[in-house]
Amino acid sequence: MANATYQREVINQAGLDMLNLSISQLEKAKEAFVNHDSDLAEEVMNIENRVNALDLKIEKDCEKFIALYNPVAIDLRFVMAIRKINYDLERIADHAYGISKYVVDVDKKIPANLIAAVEFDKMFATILLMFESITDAYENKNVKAARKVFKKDKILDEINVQSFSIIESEIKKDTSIIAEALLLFSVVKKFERVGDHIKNIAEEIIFYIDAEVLKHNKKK
Amino acid sequence: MAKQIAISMETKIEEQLPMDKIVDKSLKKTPTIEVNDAKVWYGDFMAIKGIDMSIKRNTVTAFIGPSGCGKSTFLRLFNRMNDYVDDFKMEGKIKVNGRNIYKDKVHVEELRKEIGMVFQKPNPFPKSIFENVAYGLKIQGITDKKLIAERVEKALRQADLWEDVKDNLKKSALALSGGQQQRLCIARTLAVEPSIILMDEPTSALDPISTAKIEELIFELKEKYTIVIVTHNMQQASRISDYTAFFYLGKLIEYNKTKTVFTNPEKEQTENYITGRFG
Repeated sequence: MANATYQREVINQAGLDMLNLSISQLEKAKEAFVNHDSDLAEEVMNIENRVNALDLKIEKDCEKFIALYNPVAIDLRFVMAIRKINYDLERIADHAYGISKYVVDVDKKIPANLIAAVEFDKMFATILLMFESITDAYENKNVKAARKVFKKDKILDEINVQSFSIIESEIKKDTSIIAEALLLFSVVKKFERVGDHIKNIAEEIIFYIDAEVLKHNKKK
Repeated sequence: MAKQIAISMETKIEEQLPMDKIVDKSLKKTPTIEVNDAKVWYGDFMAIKGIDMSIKRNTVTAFIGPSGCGKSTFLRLFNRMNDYVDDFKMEGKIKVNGRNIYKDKVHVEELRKEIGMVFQKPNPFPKSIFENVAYGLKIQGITDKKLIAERVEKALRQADLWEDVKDNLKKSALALSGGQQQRLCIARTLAVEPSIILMDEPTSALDPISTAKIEELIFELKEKYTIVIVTHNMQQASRISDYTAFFYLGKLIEYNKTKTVFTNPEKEQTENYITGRFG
């Protein structure tokens, strides 16, 4: 394997590791939040160091690849895309950290009826499907799979928009749940942001494979 | 096949550059070099397999491709340098500034006034710096010393060499550094005021600083000249050219804006070559 090809593969693998790590962090954070599991939440917070280290490694490897191998065409798009994908994955892991910190800092379990009211599970299931699509897209250079996430992100947006009035009415019904409701509201917001990051990643994968720029393009 | 590719690439360039939307005014001008179905043989070996190409005025066009792909042969068609090669045979039409240069009536000496050439290795004559630049003018029969001195100074200034040599014009050209010698060769070319300059790997024998100076010079010269450069240096092609043509096995595989070739080439073969996956 030529050195440039080898270095590219190293970056590609690190990107995949970062993807898997971020997914795992968010899954654990969600579990910790729903079950009020502070041990699991602390585990997520401890693993954040690994996420940051991998983020820095990918940044450094990309810089080295650009400086030493002068990539052009698909290689250039690859390294440009990986840098942005890495940023979005690191932000997703940050959200996982933030959710876990709520669990550790705030000693409140979210009532199941509240979780059901905002369609929290549907929201997270959608996120998992979106993760599945971008993993397929990333691993198999599958543009079709990447495009699937755009529609799904709209589901997250809708749930997020509706969550405001749902939580407002739940609070009106029972003012003793204000803290839990606000906590849930901020996690819904974080999930909505995660959806945006996954969408960005899909755009970058499409840019890398097909050289098509979808950023700021409403007709995706 | 090559002809079809070349024609379709040409069409695509035109599609990408509708004349009313071109910001760069020079691109609105008529082509300087037009090639129709050029074929070249060296004996039984077919080196160029039917190429169509149109090179626009005041642009820098880079020819890239692996060794033996025909890019230098193709470049040398433009000033009939291949005529000296044994068993050389060509078919097709090449128009330079609207004139078919392979017609019998064309005087090769006249053609080479129109089209200058810079080679891989600097090749100054074993004469003084001044005489090197004045050589072409004298060959043309110019005897007015004042005019010659003016043209020599102008050419040396254009080649960004005047400040280095103005006090040593009688010094042997062979005493100059490699980079200076190459700029002298460019000055020698410019002195006879051509409209097109062909460069065959002009920096491959130079250090990075001399290379940077030549590249800067090429960028400045394109305001007045049409430049066609053969290079094996991908970064050089991407840095200095407006258009890039990729040749392979005597065919023109892709001819497009340099920005397109180096970010999103249309042909897989081009991508494989520029990313080093070739072969």
